[in-house]
Amino acid sequence: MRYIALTIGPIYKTLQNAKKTRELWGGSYIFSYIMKKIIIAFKDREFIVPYIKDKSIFENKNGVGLFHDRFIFKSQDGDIDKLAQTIDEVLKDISKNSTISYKFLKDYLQINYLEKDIPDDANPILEFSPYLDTLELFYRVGNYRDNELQYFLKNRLNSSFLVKDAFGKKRKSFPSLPEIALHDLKEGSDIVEYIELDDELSVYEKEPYKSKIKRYHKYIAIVQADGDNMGKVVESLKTKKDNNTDYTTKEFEEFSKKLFEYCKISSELIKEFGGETIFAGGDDLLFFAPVVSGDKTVFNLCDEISEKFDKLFVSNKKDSPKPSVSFGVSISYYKYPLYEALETARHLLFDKAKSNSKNAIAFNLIKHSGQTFGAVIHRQNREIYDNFLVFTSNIKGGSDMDNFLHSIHHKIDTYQKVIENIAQDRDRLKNFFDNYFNEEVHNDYKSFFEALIDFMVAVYSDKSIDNEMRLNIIYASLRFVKFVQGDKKKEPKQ
Amino acid sequence: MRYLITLEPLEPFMFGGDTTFGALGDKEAGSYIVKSRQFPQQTALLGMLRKELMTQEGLLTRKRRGEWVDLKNKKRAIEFVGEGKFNMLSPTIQNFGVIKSISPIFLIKGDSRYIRKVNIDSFTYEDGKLKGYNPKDIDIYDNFINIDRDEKLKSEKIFRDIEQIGNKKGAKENSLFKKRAYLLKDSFRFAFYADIDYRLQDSIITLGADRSAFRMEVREDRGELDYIDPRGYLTLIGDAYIDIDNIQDSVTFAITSEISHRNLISKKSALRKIKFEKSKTLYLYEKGSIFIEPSSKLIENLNKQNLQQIGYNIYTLQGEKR
Repeated sequence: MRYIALTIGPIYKTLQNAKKTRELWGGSYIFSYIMKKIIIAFKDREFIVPYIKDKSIFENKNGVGLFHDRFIFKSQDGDIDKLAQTIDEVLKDISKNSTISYKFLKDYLQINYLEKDIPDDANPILEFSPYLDTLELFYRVGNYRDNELQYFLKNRLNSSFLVKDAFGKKRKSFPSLPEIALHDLKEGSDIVEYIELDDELSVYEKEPYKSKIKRYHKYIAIVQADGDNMGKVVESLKTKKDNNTDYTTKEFEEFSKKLFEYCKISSELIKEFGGETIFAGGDDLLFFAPVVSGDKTVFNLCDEISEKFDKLFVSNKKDSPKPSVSFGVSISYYKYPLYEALETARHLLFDKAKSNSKNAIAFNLIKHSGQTFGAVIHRQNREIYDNFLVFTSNIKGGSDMDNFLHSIHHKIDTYQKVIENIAQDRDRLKNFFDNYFNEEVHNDYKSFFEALIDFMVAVYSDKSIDNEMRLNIIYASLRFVKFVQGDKKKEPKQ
Repeated sequence: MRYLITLEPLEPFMFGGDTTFGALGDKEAGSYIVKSRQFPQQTALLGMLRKELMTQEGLLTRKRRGEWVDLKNKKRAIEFVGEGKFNMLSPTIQNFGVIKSISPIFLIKGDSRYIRKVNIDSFTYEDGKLKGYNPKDIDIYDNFINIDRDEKLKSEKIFRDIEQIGNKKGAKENSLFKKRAYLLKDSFRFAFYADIDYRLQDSIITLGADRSAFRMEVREDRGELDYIDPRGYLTLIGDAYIDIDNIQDSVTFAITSEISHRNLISKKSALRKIKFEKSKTLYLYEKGSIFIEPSSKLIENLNKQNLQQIGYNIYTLQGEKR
């Protein structure tokens, strides 16, 4: 059976220097756009990846890039030449509709493809991945002096062909950072009217927002998510023979279809939360989100996305590791470079969340002062995970939250050894806090203590986490609560 | 005289290339975070040498308000180190006085020399596939080889990250910055060979965006960076500017990475105050890239003599050395 496989780049290089949310979005969306345009020319072919039978993928107008950076389809005679021609036409078209020259696009884009005959019973994804991985190693340096794409993304993106393709007539551009970060203040006002094109962040100084903003409104979350153990799932797919003794790639189609559904559902969840998806293709997700939305935090959103994924990818093989999703959540101050926050999210995902047992959220919060804190919360242990979610989102504290949280942190720090010994026992832990926080336990902070105790018991009961990590998880969670619930006046003016 | 010149960092260093801090508070060109590169550009090395040679020969006047060449020394200075900045695109070979050539920069530890080279040795390339390669398992670009002994290392064994956060005085906005500088671990030093018709002495020099200090040691040495890839692949020893069209038609396959080059161009204005502007970016193939079965057309394009004299476009290929 003959297939053509293609890969496109350089995506991460393009996202460098992105300073505004729309630049990050545009730098990613243009690749999805190009893939879409190429695939359209072959839409009658049988695609292994992506799933194109649901034609809505081509007509999507919610701004989300749905096309992954690779495709594989069953080829026919002449297709390889047609592909070369199609790529040329797509690039020429982009150049007609923008300030970017055809020559630059040809030089800059790294588009690699091959056509190959593989045995009928072979797994096309497994067969072609090594070839595509190899082709990607040959980066062809361009002869251009000016980066025309960067110029376009910084200066010509609004109302461009790209925005029109992504949003139709709905919007002029991808939402700005304040639009996303100020999500839960948007009720009753059209925030877009207040945002100046050249000075987006000035909206923070304007009413009706200025008097209502809390600390977390000046922060934004960038989340990168990736499927765990998907390689094992791919390996298990077979080109089965159907009744006519023809090989069929139905299993692959179903697999790609599930991925497509996952992407669609996730984008909807993100939108509902007040976030904006930059990219959703394959098992990859990249999105912006406000830290808090209603009574949920961005961690609740991640959990919801995981649940949808779990429902779609039920593992049916007993001894193979269960597929899941891991997240890298980078929460940063609104003036912090977006590209750096993106790199942090990537690092959190691949180096922290995905090490060991995976199925985890690795988060990091970079404060205005440059100070950071964070932890890895494993979803495997539902006790810890659920309590973490409750603790970080449902806490309605009382007065003087900052000082209170600070003294909790201090007390736990001082009595580390004691806590190590008693924290698996709910009653003993309760007595500990009763002793040191007598007033608070019975007044404003009653529910806070209940949630904290449940959380600590869960963390300390997990034998797989060492003591240092336990403390880190507790501290990071306390600091997160302080960040969300604490007094505004603690934040220095800038 | 041929020398082996080594540079020992005396403090964390910051080698720039493209992204720098820009003007204070500059929203567009400025950057909050600047990350050092691992190596200085060859043009920076040349600039450092020219300045140091002039200093050692007494041709450079240094005062608190700046440093310059006095009019009376100008003629001698031009003879000594050449005139004008290095031009990456010069069609002719520029003259740099007593500096006849400099090699690409590399690393040295004891008597072992290390160069950057993509980790092709761990794999076999056959019929379009790099056998055994999985990008999830390995960063093929993060690799340094010892050309005097059988050894290979990753960056983390050589470079130590030093992060510095600070506040720029005088800026209302965008004043917070973060620097990611480096130190070399484990008595590693930078090194390069140079052919100079002058008795260059040891000294303390500065290099990099921050003018970080290095101890420069100069020893007579006839050595060459004569590493040859065991499978006969063309190996870039220095960053290379290649400008043929459709390079994929001139090679069977290659494993390459890109590095950008930019330097300051001085623009004199009528007010006789020299302004510095960043030049346009030039994109190069990074040292350590390899090319499998390069055509003669590609090799011809690599042989840009003006660039080769200062350590760009230097490569090795079995049967041919340049």
